[in-house]
Amino acid sequence: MSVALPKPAPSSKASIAQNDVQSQQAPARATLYDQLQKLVLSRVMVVVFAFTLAICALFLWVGESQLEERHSLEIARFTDALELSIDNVRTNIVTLAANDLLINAMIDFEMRDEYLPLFFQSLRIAKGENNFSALYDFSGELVQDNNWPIAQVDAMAPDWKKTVLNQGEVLEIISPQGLLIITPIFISGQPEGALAGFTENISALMQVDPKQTAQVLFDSNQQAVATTDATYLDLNMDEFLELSRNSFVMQTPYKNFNVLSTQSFSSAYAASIWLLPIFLMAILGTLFSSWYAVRLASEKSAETLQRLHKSLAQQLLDEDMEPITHGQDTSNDIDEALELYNIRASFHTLTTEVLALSISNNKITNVINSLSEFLIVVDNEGHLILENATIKAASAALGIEHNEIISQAFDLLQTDTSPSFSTKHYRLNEQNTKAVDEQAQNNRVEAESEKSKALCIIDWRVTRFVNKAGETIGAIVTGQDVSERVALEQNIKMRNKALEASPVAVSIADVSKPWQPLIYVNHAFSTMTGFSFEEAIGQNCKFLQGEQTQAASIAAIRQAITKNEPLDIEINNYRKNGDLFVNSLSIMPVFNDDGSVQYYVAVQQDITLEKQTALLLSQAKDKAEQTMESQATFFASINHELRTPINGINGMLKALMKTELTEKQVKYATLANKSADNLLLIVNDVLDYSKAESGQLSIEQHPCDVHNLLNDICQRVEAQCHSKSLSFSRCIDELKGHTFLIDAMRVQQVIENLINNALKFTDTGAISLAVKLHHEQPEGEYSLHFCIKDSGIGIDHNHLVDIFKSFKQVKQASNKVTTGTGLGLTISKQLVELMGGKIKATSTVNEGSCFHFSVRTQITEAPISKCSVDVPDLTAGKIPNVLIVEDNEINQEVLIATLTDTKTIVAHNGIQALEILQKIKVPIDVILMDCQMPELDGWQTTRMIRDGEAGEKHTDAPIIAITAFTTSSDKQKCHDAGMDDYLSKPFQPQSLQEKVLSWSNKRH
Amino acid sequence: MNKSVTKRVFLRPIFSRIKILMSISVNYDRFFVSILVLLAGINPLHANTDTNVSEYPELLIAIDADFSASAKEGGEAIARGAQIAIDEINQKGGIHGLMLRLIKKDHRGNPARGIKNIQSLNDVNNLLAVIGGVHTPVALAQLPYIHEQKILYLGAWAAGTGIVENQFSPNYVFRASVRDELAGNVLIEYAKSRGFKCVALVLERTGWGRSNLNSIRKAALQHNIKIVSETWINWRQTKFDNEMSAIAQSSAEAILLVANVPEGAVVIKHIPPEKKLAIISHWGIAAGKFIDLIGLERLKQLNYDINVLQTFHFANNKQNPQNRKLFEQYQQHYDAQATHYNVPAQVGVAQAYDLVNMLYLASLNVIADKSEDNIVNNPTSIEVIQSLNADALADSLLQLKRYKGAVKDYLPPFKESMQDALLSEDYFMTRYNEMGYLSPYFEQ
Repeated sequence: MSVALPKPAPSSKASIAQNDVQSQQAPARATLYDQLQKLVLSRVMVVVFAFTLAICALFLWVGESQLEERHSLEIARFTDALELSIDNVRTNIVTLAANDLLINAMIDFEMRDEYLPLFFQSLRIAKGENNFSALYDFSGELVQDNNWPIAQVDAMAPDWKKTVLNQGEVLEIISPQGLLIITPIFISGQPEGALAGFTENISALMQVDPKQTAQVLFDSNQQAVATTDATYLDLNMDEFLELSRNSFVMQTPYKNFNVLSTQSFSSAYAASIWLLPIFLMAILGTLFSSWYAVRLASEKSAETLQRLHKSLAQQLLDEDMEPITHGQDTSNDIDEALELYNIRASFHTLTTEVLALSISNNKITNVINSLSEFLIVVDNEGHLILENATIKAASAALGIEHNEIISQAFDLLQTDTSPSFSTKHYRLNEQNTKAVDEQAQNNRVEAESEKSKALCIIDWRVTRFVNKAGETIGAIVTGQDVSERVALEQNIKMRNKALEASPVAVSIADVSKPWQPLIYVNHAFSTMTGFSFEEAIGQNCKFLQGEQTQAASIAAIRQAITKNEPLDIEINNYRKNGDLFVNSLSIMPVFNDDGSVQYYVAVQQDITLEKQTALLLSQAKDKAEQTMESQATFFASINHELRTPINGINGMLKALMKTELTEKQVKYATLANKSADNLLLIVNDVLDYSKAESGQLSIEQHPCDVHNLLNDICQRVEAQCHSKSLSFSRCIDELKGHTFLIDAMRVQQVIENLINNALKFTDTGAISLAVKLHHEQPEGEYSLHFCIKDSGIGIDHNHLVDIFKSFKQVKQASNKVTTGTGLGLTISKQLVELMGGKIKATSTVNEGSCFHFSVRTQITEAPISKCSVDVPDLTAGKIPNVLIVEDNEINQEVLIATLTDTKTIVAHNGIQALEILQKIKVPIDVILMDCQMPELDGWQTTRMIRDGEAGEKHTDAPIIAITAFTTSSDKQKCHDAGMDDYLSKPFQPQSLQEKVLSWSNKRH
Repeated sequence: MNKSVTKRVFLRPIFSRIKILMSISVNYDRFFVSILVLLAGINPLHANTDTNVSEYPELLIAIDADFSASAKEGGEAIARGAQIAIDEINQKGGIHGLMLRLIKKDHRGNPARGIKNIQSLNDVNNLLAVIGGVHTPVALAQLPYIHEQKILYLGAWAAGTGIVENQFSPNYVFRASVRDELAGNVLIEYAKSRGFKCVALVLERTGWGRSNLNSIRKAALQHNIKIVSETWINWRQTKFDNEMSAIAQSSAEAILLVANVPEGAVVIKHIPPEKKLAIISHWGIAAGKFIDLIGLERLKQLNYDINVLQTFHFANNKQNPQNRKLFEQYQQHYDAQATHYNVPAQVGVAQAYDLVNMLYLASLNVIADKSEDNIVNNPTSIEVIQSLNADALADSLLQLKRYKGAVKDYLPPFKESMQDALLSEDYFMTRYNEMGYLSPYFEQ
């Protein structure tokens, strides 16, 4: 391979200056020859090597498979021969066993000894030496034999009798010891004896020609049984394999045996060894011819390329001055191959044309790329001919895939793949503007920008692409990004819709025009006024106004518009059908950028209904207030009107009883007095109840020593119990020493109510009162728990739930007459609940009842207002002067009769009282003032006294209100008027006396 | 016999001891000692006697015949005849109170099996006799063992002369059947009576065939009948073409056949239809389903001219009370549909029946002889069994004066010189009728 070759042309012809320059610039390059040699020869080597390997492998594979085939054949022959030999022996023995002579011998007991020995002596069951035979009887006893190796047979087939004599089957054993066949002798279908044959050398049975291969039959114990080659006899398989180490060995299972066929490698491959040198020669030849071909080809190619290179270099050097003609070159070298010459010539023509073209092309390209619109040119076959750079720029700027833009344009074309697609668009574009718009609409394609995630909308247009002859040769698709425009359009549309859908009537007026016409009304406006859009547009707002439209409102609106100010106003307007409605109008100027106002926006709302409703509501409220007021007045007057006569009766009766009366008269008077007391109680109850029902009942808390209060109550109750022979017990000491904030009067009322009930329904036994103090949340809050227990008749369980209901009196089995309104418990319950507590009752019929109630309270350090009546020293002091201001004559009498120990002056009304006070010389110690009086009522009179209108000396005179107005507000009213104390009618004489004395004492 | 004498001598001192013990009244020490001595003496004796009795509650009669191969009908017929006789005997109370029982041994016609069967009887002590079957070779093979084991052999069928005329002494073989050397004469006489001058012999290649050859040859010479061919047929031989064509080409007018059922059928099947050969057969073919093998059609082709030697036929002597009784018993026990003709292998039934009855009579005589012995009046079972040995029974059989049997009135059955009970005058020829049953020749 190391043949010295002349270096190829390049270096020798490298004298051209440019080439030198290039050579210097380029890295040192290998010549074409070197490269080809390196490339081709290395590849040829690899291919040749691979080919050689493949051929060798194929050779081995084919040889191997042929060898295997051959040996399979040999093994088949061997096993066939073996089988045939064994078959022969077996057939011999089986045939013999069926021989009449032998069968007869089984029966011919006495004579058989004469022929059997001779028979067996001459019997050969197989060819070769060392074969033996024997005849057995039915029990396996030997009858006759021929050197029969009994021990060996027994070892080979210990169970042969079972197989042959019992089951009647032929036994055949092939083993390294030899071939043993025992067959039954049948008489009448039953095995009555057996004929056995044994041959030691199985190999000797076979007819085998000497061959290059040898086969050996191994049994399952790997011992050789039969072979075609005596050298392998008596070997086991391992020994055989050891012997056949340098041989081809093939193994095939055969029944329970394995047949191994062997042949030495030298003989196996002898036939193909001589091919090897020829094969080597062929490889060398291939390599050499490859090398030579490479050398020739490279030399030739290099020469042509060199020439091409030269001409190009020269051309570049000469610029356009003088094109090189081919003729010169061809005349120089006729040896150049035709293909190479053609290439060089074509290349030359091409460079010339390309140069000319590129100049004009650049200009057009620049124009197209400078377009702001996308430009895509497609030929009739749908191939992309041209696209401008704008698309790529837009794609980068918008973040949309370039391909997506192109495919949009193509999609557009594909929807119009009909042959007339281009002309259609042409016509639309040129002639029908509206249609073009529609088309444009249709041609809009949306794409989602990846960068901004905003929708990018491109408006595509298709135009015919025609050649000089006017033939359509394709389509020009131009696209424009109209995203912003579309977004704007949508925004406006959305606002329009919102305005239109608004439930509030909106209108816009152009105030720049003298008539100030409406230029927009929404749907709600039409609904409200009844005027449609068309009817309303162009009208001045006045078209809604009419007779009842407030002139002030119109003026206000006008003024606001003049001043460019907003305004909220209510104005009476008229609908199209003439109905009046109240319009809540808001107008706002719409400022232009320069601050001028061209439009006013008006928002109108029909508030007619609201107006009416408000009116109705205020009327209802007034009415309700009046009702309440009249109710309160009614209660007050009823109270007053009832108490006043009762007070009269009471007072008069008491006065009467102080006169000298006959016994009968005293009795009557006492009864009348009692009835009057009861009547008073009933009136109190009814009034309390009524007040509670109408929500007039109220609680007034004052500091109170509850222990004292209870003590007083208990003393009175004890007395009553004593009179009924009842025992009374109390448990109230827990409250001792505390002052509670409580409505003492109401608590007393409840307790007395309950105790009175107990007294009423208890004839024997005891009554008890207990009270306990409980802490409550929040801290500082307490509750008092009272328990009034009796041993009376009790209340049926079914009635317990009803007892706190109005007008319920439990009917008693004993038909005991009960008195009272039946309101006591109801009032008690309401009072207790007002005081933040609860009341409940437990009872057992005939055992008694127990009433519990609780009252919320606080412990206070405040000084105690009188919650129980102080007992003044009635004896002390002088006789006070009392002015009675009272319009009711009966009451005057009552008061006078009650205040027997005082000097009394009576005034019939306030004016009279003032007059008396002004005139009187003696000091007035106490003024008893009725509140409701004609001319001048008690409150006003009091104020006037306090104001000194009755004389300075009387301004601080104690004034005690004597009134049938019993509510706390009445009390407060009295207090506010300047009164010092309060006594409600009807009053207990003692109370009056005490109050009078007490205040007169203070005066002193 | 010696043994029982010894026992009685041994008993005497024990009895005398008991008497002595009974007479002693108060000597306790001696009493206990005596009890111990007594127990020591009595125990072995008692145990011995009891076991012997329980071991031999019955007497056995074995039948060794082919029950499964070609002559099983013969074997079964013999067994039935023997069983009927045994049942009758047992009904009469057995032999000295011991019941008889039949045990069957199957030799399949194979002498080797026959020998094995006889050997297996070696340990059976209460065996009275063995009844032999159809096959002469088996019987011949068994003879040495029979005599060695001292077993009484009753030949109910196998006709070989050598079976009875053996070299053994004492000869334990007694037969109530055909004797071949006499049969040959009967067959030849029959041929002569049919007017045949030339006959062909076909014999099976066994001892039986050989024993007949001699007697037939002798008789033929005597009656001037020419034996034109002598042909042997092996056991289970199936081809007989060459032999038959030779016979057919000879001048034989009849074939004298000495063969069993399969081989006989082979011979008959090979007779050319055009050749009207009469068959004069020894009775071997009557021991099995011969007609089933050749078919009624073949029988018809041969003009029903198959003549078989017999010693007995139910139809032959209907007036004989034993005969009538036997037939009734047969019908009762084995085949309610049985007729005088269709009882298969009926010679076997009758001959076995007669033999068992003769054995019974002989046994009674043996025991009667023992009873005459003054030593003890009432022999025990063991003594009876021991007394009924082959020697005693053989003696007793020879001593029988007369027995009125089913086959004939045996007067006497056996003689010292002739232990064959049936002789040539007792043989007669029968012929297969259209139904394929043998019927006495005189009826036709």
